[in-house]
Amino acid sequence: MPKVELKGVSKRFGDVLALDSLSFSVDEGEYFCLLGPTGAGKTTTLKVISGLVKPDSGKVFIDGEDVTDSPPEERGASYMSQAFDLFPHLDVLSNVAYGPAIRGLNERKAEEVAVQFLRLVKLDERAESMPGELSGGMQQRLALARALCSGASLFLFDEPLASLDAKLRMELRAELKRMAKAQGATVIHVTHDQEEALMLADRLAVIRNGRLVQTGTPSDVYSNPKNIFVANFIGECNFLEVRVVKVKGERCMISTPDDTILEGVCNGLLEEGRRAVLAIRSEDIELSGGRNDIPNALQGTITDVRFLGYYDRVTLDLGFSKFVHKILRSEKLPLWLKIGERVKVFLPPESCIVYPYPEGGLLKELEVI
Amino acid sequence: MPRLTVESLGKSYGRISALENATLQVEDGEYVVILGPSGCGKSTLLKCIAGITKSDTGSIWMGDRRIDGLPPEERGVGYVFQNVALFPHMSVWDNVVYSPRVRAVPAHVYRPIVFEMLDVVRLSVGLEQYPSSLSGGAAQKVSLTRCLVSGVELLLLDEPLSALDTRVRVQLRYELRRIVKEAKLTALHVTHDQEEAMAIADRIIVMNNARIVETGTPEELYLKPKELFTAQFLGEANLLKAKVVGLSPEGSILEIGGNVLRGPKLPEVRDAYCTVIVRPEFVNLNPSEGEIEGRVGKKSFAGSYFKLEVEVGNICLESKVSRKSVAASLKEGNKVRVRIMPENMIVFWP
Repeated sequence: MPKVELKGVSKRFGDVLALDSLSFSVDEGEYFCLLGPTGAGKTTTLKVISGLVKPDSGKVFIDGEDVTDSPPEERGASYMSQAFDLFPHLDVLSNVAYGPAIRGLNERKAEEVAVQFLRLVKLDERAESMPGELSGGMQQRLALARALCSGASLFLFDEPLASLDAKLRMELRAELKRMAKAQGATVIHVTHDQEEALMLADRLAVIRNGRLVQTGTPSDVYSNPKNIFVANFIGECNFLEVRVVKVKGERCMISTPDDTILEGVCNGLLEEGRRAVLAIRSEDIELSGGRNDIPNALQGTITDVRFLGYYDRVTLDLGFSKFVHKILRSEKLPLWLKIGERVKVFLPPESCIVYPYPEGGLLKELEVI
Repeated sequence: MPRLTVESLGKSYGRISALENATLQVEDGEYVVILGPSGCGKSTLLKCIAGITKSDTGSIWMGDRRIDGLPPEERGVGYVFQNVALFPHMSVWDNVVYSPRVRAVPAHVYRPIVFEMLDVVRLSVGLEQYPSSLSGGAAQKVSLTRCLVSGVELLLLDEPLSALDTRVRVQLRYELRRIVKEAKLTALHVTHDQEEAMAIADRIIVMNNARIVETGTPEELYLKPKELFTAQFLGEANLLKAKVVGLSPEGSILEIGGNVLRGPKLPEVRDAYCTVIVRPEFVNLNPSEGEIEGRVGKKSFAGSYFKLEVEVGNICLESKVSRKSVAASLKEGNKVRVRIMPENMIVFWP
């Protein structure tokens, strides 16, 4: 039995259809991420599960029980909103100790538990401060500590790490997952940060315009994005308008704007002679300095090489399009890899995913906001 | 002569010191990023240069002109905020030409400049649109354009991308650099986002606890940081305690967590302890080759790479492995050989 299940949930706010017949389920003990651009309906989904927003139609189940009409306090869920909702008149320690105290722990015990969670989010030194004296990032950590020690079995987190710097975000990310697993809790975590979702989730769902686009494990969704929107939203992808030359089973031949014929993998119904879109991950491209006889390759000029820490980001001009290539830094870069060099851009056929041309045009599909 | 010189700048709020003895220079045409954790004083520094905040000590020079006594509008700087500050009742065009208009610059003078800047910024929205109809990214581009047309010598950007959606933020960071370079401007940009800093900057100034820690190109600071703080703040790092157990002309022998490894050349300090920083991407894993043996622990997928924890001796190393490499097929519990090249070890002495 799933821990949480949404069946055909719709919600309208005035003219805007925030959720459009949304269905998905989350298993007991699962760490589930809900990913999508701004305005996709992520926060509304959490509010529907927590009971703060009542859907216009559809059903919400928790532990197999229909809770669509139950008030929030009967759902056993702990919800951390983006607004934090801290108690402004209570100090940091009392904010966190509140949950354990109303669960029946005596004051001293409740404070002990609270201190433990404050240490976890590195706020124990500010136990006596008032929420108003904390920075945005600190307030977020406080809200997180308070949610975590509520003793709930279901956590609903809305962008819990958004205001933190990368180092702290990375540390708390690992902590968050470790804690949830240790408590055997189920987590639904909303984020617009795709790396966060990939690294945290047991399973994730991509939503757009209130509709479910794809669910799966992070590596499933990353390796087999269902459409151009997902390919673009998760990871860094290069896209190219092409024409279908031949379809044979799962593979197809396509022609590029400069009439090079390339082989790729079909995704969706492709018709010979029609426009299509080729997608390839920036790390899946391979560059070659000298050889000229590689199949499935295009000619390009290196226009930029940026040092980005654990990787280098190479920009390529193909004449009719620009590609980005990401090289993980574990070995030294070849000497020919510099601005102005002409290179062969090899596109491994198994990494070229070919999608039917989207109805609203390619640019519309690539819009993320 | 540098475009901007800041000398021994200090600022306190009551007993809290927000900025201590900050000295820096920005060359003409340079894109410099100030990077640091929240509360490190980076915004205070920028606000002092802009004239929004008054510094207590030190001086600020624009070329050979001392500006720290001048009001903000006479300093020749433009300021872009994190939260876009456009006039909501004015169209995009009216917002953009606001500055030349209030300075009573004739239209035939400012129009060509405005069009040139609109061209550089590649604004994809209608000039008759109102701010409320713009996406976050587009609105930030409008406020940038407004800054550019006011003819400033130095652009100050305070977390200009932080309020935007991740995808838009990543797109816009490269745009921002291109715009500044094409418009031949000088920019000083404040952020807490490490990757953003490396993506945009010619040079990064790292700050912590109200002080400048060190300055360098992204490559220098990431690969050869002089300060431990920089090594840990800029990118991910394995922080290891090491004991020097041997020295040779080629290098050193280090004991790290019960393992004996070849280390870089070190001064004559036998039996001394040091801290070694190794970036996860330099922890090479291979089923057969490598100096020491380890066991794969937790493995997590991060899109273009995997992150693996590897237990070696009595420590745990973190490794980043490309999705396409042989090591990507390693599973939890597998035995591996681990290699760290001496040149990829950054050594700090206590």
